[in-house]
Amino acid sequence: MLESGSSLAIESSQINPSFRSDDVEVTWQHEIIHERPPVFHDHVSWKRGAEAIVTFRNGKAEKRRVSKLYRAPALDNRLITERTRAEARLIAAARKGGVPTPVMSDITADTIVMEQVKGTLLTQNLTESAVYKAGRMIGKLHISGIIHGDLTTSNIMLRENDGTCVLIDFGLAQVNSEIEQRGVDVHVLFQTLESTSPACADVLKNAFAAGYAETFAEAAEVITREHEIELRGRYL
Amino acid sequence: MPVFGQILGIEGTAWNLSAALFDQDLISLVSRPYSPALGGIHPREAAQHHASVMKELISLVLKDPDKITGIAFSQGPGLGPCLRTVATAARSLALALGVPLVGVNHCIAHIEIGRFATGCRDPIILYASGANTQVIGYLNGRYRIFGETLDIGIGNALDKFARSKDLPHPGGPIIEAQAKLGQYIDLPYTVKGMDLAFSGLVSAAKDCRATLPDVCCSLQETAFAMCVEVTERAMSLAGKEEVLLVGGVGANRRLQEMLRMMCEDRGAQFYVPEQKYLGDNGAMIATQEN
Repeated sequence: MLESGSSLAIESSQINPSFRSDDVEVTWQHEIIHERPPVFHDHVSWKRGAEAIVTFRNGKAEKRRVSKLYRAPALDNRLITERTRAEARLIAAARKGGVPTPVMSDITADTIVMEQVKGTLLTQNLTESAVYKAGRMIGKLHISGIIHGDLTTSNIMLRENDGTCVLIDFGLAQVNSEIEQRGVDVHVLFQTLESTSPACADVLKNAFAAGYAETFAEAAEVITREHEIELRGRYL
Repeated sequence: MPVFGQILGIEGTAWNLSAALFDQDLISLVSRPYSPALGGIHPREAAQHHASVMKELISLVLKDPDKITGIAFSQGPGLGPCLRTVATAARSLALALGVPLVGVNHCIAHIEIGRFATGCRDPIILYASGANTQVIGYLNGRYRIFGETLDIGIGNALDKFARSKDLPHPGGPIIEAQAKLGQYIDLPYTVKGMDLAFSGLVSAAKDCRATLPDVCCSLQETAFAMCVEVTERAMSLAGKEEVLLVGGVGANRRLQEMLRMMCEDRGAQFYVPEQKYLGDNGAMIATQEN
């Protein structure tokens, strides 16, 4: 800090009990870019997420949850089975509520086979209009009494033929109609907007809120709660 | 790297008042922790403790005042009364010695001393301490918070459980020892996207009828698995290949082991600094930017 010239005058050296790490401009470190190209063999390719491996084969996506060695085996089994089962159930429920999702064709204890959605991730196409569409879609999801539970920009796709927003990865979704849970959903999305696109996070948040309010009557209440959650989660 | 000479750092955001002298490397580090006779940290009493030992602490570290080129202090986040006590001492020292004053973010100090001590470059950081549980990564010029606790810190969760079972403070090491004798039983597991919540888990653990070793084992397994899962999600999202563990709860061997296994599985590297740099300490305040 001294090196970067940020010493303080005595008059402006007030303490800050809720000083966040992202309030500090880091001038002493430089970004390192990581690139990991997806692996392609013939007509098969795969993607490894944090908890599952998705294999793409003949227009299908097979999502298999993998065991985590670090977890107690009983906890590991419980999480894998519960999450696979819940995910399948919730994908079906969301479709019923008018939310575009991949179509499923087979389900086992750790695997769901579904349609491979062709298009780009919202992360790679963070425009106002795309985020607005995402807002409309999440409004429908919340009306159906479903919480996504992992609403990051990597879990929303834009279909290549018509630009429809498609919601993927219902791994942590749940049936719930509480304002609090809906607020957490929106909070998670807003956090990924902030961490991946800090410069225009506010514009994108407003675009989301506009779309969300169009399809969902209680939207304003949820957005207010999201703000509360943001304040509450902090070290106070 | 420009040479600035000796920086005196004072840390005192919560329970530990600690001062250190740092140049290219650590010269000295002295701590005077506050430990409550009963229950948890009382902010006013902690601040009074810090004030009463401040003079002794500074005199132990400050052997050669002429060599000091800057005073660094923990500016936040933390308990207000404690922060004010430390800031007052730091301001007086800076004025008396005629050197610049530097306010340091406590969370970033943890990260920077961890990077200094382990040599990792661009990690996802799991910062697990009494009051904080955050998953952080460097992106676009700042340390972004990818996920964090929605209610209490993990150390606070362990301490709350320990107090309910009449275990002495700090509860973490006792829970760790008991957990080795126990077996896993189901407890609530709460991960919401990238965020965590511990209060439901603590309530369930308090009310659990199983033996103490079994509950300790399950509490640890559940709470740590939640932290490791969010850390792995952040790595996947940010595309980073290193994990750095910091904060007082980082001393727990089981948490270290779980993170190491997760990293090995992904072909990533796991780093944890030595014990003296894990919990709150003055060195991390003095070293930032080195």
